[in-house]
Amino acid sequence: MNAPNSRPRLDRQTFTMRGAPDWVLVGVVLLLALIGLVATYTTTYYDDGANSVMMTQMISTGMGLFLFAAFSYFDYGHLRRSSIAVFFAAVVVILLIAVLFTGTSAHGAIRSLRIAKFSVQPSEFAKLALVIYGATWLASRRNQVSHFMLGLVPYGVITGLTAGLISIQPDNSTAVIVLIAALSMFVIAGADLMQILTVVAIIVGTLFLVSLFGAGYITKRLDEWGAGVFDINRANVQVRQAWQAFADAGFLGRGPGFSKQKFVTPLATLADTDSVLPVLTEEFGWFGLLLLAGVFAVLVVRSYRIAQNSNSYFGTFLVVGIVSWIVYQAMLNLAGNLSAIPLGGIPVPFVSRGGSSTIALMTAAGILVSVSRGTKVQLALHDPSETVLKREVLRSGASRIFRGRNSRSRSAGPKRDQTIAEKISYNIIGRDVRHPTRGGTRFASEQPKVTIVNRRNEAQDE
Amino acid sequence: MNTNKLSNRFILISLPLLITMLWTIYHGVSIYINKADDLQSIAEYDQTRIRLEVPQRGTIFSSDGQILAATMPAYRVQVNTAGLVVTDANAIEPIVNLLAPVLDIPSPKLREQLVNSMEKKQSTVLAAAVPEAKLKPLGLSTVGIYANLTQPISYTRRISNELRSTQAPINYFISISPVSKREYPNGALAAPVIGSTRYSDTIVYSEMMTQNGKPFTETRRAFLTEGISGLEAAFDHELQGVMGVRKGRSPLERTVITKTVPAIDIVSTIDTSIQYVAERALDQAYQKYKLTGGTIIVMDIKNGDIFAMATRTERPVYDPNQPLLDVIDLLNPAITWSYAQQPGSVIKPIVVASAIEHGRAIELFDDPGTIMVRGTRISNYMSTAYGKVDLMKLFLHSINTYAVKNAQSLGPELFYQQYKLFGLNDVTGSELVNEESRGNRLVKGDKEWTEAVMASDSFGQSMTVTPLQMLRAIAALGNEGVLVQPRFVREHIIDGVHKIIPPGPQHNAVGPAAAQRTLGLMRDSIVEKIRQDKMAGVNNNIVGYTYAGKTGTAQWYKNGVMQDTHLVTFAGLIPANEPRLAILVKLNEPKIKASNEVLAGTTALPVWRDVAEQAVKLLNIPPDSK
Repeated sequence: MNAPNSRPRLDRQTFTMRGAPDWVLVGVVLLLALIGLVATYTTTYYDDGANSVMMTQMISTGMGLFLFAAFSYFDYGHLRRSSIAVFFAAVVVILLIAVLFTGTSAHGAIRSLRIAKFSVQPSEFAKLALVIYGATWLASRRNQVSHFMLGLVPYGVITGLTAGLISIQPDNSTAVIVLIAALSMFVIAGADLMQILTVVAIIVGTLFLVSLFGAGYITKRLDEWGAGVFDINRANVQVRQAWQAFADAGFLGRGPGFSKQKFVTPLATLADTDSVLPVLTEEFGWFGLLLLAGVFAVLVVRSYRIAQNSNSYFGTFLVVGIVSWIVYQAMLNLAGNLSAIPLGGIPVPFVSRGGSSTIALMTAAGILVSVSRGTKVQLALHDPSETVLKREVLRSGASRIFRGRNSRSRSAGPKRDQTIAEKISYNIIGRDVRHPTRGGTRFASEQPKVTIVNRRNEAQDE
Repeated sequence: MNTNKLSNRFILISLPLLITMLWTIYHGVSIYINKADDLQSIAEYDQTRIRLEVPQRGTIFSSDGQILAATMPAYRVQVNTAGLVVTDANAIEPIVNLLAPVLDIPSPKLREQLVNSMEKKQSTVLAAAVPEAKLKPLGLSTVGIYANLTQPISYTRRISNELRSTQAPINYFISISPVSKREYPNGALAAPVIGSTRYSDTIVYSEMMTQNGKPFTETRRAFLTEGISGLEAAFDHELQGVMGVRKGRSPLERTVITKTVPAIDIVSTIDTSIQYVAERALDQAYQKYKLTGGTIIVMDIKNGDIFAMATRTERPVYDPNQPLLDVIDLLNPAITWSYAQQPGSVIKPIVVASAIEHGRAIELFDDPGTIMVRGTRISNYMSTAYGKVDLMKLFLHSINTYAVKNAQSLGPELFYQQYKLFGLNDVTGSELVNEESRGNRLVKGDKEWTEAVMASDSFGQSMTVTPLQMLRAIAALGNEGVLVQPRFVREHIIDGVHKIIPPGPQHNAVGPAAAQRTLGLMRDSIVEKIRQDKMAGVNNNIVGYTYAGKTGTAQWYKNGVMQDTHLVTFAGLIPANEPRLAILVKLNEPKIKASNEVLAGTTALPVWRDVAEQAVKLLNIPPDSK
């Protein structure tokens, strides 16, 4: 026993402070995977080689579900090891460069690499890599973010390089998605208004320059869009055909599998990928489209909640990056198909057929679920006299503590009859988990009893 | 950073999403309200598809179950230059290397064809029908070869996805589309009977449609196989079936405009074994006598089934699997006028039977060797005078003067009436296309007709028949005077059910008694001839069988000018006591060292004997003598 007023012995103890996953989110992801398989089946079953196409997609979805489960189970904090993130990013960059050099052709570029019998699209994985690396970077330099030279410029260079590599494939739509995800994380990380305006100005300016001096097909597409906005008959044939499907759909649609427009070329060649929404709308009606939008809306709401409640900045940024990627890609696809914006060649996340896309998205969804479970933290009990607390923490386990938090609605505060374990948890969260939303304000009155000494980089943040 | 601020930031990053969503909804609703009707009508036009369903052409079987003609899956390979992006000749090198061995085109020629179509921007068919077996090892099933991608890619959705990602227009440099190839497993065997086909790319469906108030004709083309000769042409309708047309807005709901009727398989009367025997015998005679042509027909006298019809001309034997070089190869010499010649003495049994039928036969005749008919001198072979002879001797020695006397006894009216009854003036009514008939060049009533014409008609001069007409007339003598219609198809197979075709119309050419008597005379003359030949060291006997028949030797005419060469024929019935088969052997211009020895009895008869001996064994016809 130590004497009072003597320096307390720090009794460090690592806890797996991980709670239950957000089951609603898990359900949403599984539902989207199912919708994806249904969409693939209904848009390919009539084709030559439909079985092999369906089998490939089922294998991809299976691999995706495995990765989803694995990434949900493992602590996303491991991703923070910058070596892993950088390695991942580097591999993707190498793949991108390889695509550029091996896939050269006179007209346009090839966006996929052929590895063994499988075709891999590095740009799908580039999105994931960039989100992970960007979240790591922002979490480590959170206090520099609002600084122009230390925050905006290096971050801009990282994202700009990745987006640029994707853009010259050319795959401008994916590049735009990458920029949106990166910018969303940057905004959440604490960029100030001037920085945001600067970035938006740069992006808009680049797009403007590209539209003026860029590749012919971009200007053509923009022209077609400009014409099509006012007169659908002058629009791109693919847009017009998508519109025919929307116009014919009705509220409840023709019924599963009974789309007529999916047999009409050139839409027929895109029915399983970029133009999957018109076909699904024709079959399941505007009602079906609204339901799908609802599923994505639930994904967004749950993800924002996870981002707010995360016990690390890294987790918050990851979630924001991933959800921006998913939801903006879905929105831009729908807007493009309805000719509200110039049509780009991007698939609908989870719904469109595509192995790389499915696997990358399921991995990202796994990371979302992992963040919802919290990350591993290290506790240091200041006062050895509080062995009761320590024992309680050890006994009940951090998982229970966090489960209590996660399963409660946001408004629920500490209750009068809260358990000791819950007290600890609130203290942990309130003081030291360094969450932007919980900057200690709420529970400042309570004397901190437990300090979390986070592993590695988290300590640098303060 | 406080709670509110983070929420604000979430709103900040969601704001563009919300704006895009609202704009999309506004845009969508406005287009839906203003344009939905237009879009739906365009959609209806875009989605409407007319699908043609061409039934696979039927199979032709032989009577012994062999396949004579069948349609096999094949592929048409053609250069597709619409929107071609590659102009570098080196880029086609891999394609040349890939396709040259498959298409059996020499590499330089193929390269030249490809470069030509590239320069002229013309689509060229490289091969109309390549068998599936040749393309399969390459992994080319239904295929396009894209010029930019040097390896072939199977044409499924996969190719369109890959091409889409290249931002290039979707087109294939080499397009490979399924067609069907007509194959003849037995090659040239019975080729003129089976016939041949050609591929035609024709407009098979057209419909008036309107778009934006402007009427236009919507047409569909199909790559069809159509018969051009032989049974292929004669039964083209049955073999083709009826092409179905379906129309609708999606593959799931197509209304039937024309119902598809599957093709009918036909069973031919041709027996490949007997056909082979006949062709081999003809080939051997070809070698031996240096013929310029010939015909062997084996026919069932009861119902007119043709078991074998072998023909040869001056031209090489035409194999319908090979490209057609000359349309003359499509003619069947056994039935067409172009190849018809004077039958010669083979006609004499007809004259005698007719005379017997009408009770005007001259049973005994004192032959002077030469007689004058209206100033025309008619003499026997070598002008031999045979003295007192009977009708059997008429056949044995083929006495022209005696035949003339019988004809004169019959009188012109009855004479030509009988010729007509024996079908010598008409087509036989066999199903084969292009069958021709000329018969007697002049008949009574024509301005240039004299009795001398009838006289020469009576021993087969100055008239022309096809071998099939001649054989049919002789066969009637073995069938109690009933003239049957030769036929080449005896069954239709409709959905696996065999439907037997009844024999064609028949009529009596002469009464049974006259036919029987003539048959007996012919048999006796042959028995006598076999005896005489045996003494001369030639065996024309068929062990166990008797046969009846008549030789014929005629001058060979070429373009209406008489040549030094001859045409020899032997038409006969076997077994003579109860005839089952009628067989005709006709050899054109046989050449042997002493030209005056060219007689049917020494050339056509041994060939006939060989064919008949094997045919009766192959058909298990019981022997009629010891």
